[in-house]
Amino acid sequence: MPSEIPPSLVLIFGAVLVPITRGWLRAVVILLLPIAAGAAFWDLPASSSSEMLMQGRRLVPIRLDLLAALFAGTFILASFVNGLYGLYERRALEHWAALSYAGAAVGAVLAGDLVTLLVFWELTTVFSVFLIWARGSRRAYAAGIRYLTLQVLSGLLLLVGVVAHIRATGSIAFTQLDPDEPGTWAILAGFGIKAGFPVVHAWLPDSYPEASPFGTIVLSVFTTKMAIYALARAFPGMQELVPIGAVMAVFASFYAFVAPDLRRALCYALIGQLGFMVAGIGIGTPLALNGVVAHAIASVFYQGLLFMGLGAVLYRTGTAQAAHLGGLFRSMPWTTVCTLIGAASIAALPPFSGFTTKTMILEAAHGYALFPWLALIFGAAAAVLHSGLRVPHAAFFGASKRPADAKPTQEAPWAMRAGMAVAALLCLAFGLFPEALQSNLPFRVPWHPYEPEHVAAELALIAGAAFAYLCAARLGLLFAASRTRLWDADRVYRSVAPAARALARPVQVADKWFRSFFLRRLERFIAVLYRHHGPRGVLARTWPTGSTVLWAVVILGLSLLLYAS
Amino acid sequence: MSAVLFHALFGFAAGVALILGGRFLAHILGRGEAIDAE
Repeated sequence: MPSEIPPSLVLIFGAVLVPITRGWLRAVVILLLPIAAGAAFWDLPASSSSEMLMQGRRLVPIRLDLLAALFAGTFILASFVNGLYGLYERRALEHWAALSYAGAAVGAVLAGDLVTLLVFWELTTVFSVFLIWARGSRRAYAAGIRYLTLQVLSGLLLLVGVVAHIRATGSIAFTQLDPDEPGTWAILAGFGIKAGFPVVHAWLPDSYPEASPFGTIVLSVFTTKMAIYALARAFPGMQELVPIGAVMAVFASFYAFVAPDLRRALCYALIGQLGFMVAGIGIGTPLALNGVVAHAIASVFYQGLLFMGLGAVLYRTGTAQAAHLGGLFRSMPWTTVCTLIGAASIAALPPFSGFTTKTMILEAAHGYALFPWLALIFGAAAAVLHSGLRVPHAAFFGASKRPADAKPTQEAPWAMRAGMAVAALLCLAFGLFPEALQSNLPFRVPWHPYEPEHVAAELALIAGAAFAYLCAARLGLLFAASRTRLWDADRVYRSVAPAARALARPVQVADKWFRSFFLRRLERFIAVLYRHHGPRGVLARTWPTGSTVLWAVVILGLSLLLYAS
Repeated sequence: MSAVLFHALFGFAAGVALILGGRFLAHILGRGEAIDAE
């Protein structure tokens, strides 16, 4: 049995304290649990690999190598920052789900075997759906069901793949998988759903914006990055991932630029950033894999910061629709500055975090092949427009498009401001001191992001993209926010449900008829039985001794006749 | 120098493609549910 305290269990079991505490005590629990998990994580011996035997199989619930440690440490830090931001939220359900979900994600990235991974993989699904349902609206409930369906499908594919893999190899170790072995493609598909692969990506922009401001931030951190970790662990250098990542970086950019709901736009921007990571995993060189890990860590905080900024806007104005916002920088200066830092980071503007990490993947792609590289720099330029310029422009600058009778807006509550400030500082720290992160990345590869040619090329890309945005704004070509939600792949399964209901109608009618037919007959049979055997039935009466003797003689006589014949 | 110029031109071209492509995408796919239903 392992002697260490797993940080995942500290969060999952500690989260039980949230519903049973109130007020400041609950706030202390919310902030102390990630600190306690961090202490447990810190206490784990370096390169530890705890093992347990279960039915002859070697379970490794904690494997602490550099890759796992970087993701687990980031998740624990993110759960603290999220908890700080979420202190404005009074509902215990959201905090309980957020901490448990973080614990499950930490458990998944520390898992050294496929069975432990599968258990924590499913737990993230179970805990995270409550973050969507906690908003309490009918739309949130429906979005949560659709989210749950896709996440359970991911878990089922993983289960099928793991079982096939174990049967074929006899091993449950979670290491690099061979594509020729049975089950590998099912495992890849399971990971791919959570990583937002094209076509199966739609659960993300469908469900995340339906959660509360706090819920969306928590959701944006764990599921997708856990999938990126799993892909980096199991499929480094798998060439098929390069075009998948390139397509993600390109197609999601178009949606991110035109989505009317700014939080939904950020969800598409998140898919675009995941595309960089998936492509980097496929490239598989040490520089690319270092870039994937560094970009995943940086994106946890800059993407979270952007969601935090828009969460504060939603909290104060009641909407995140581009068509109903604008001009908020006067009333929400703190939120504006923090969101701008997140926007600068995702746009990879030096000296913010995205610059030092995204350029690592771009450099690796440059040496790999032309088309993936072009797709990724298209994605990098697009991030300047959709998240770097459009989101802050639509929410905070320009003329206010809020209704004339709307209440004056206030700055975000102190907890939101504190959470945003910490996330903004981390975005700056990763950008200003890249060595701190790079010296701990899995591979020893020299990378100097602040070399003049890298800085000049990145600034030129940003300037070119920004110039296109300014020209379009000047010419009135910028997309006028639509009044409708754009169609996406989720339309397919959202339209399948009513069709399935229509197809099931005849079955339902036939079922009803059969059941009523047989139930009527069953009821009649029971009534007959009751008439004879019930408390007033013929057979339940008290019979005189004489008649009992008579019946006994008759039965004996009949038996005698039967045996004699 | 040529790399810087390439990045600047590519950034501009990508921006134009995104803006025009986005308008086209919104035209053909912007028939979803009304956002005001929220």
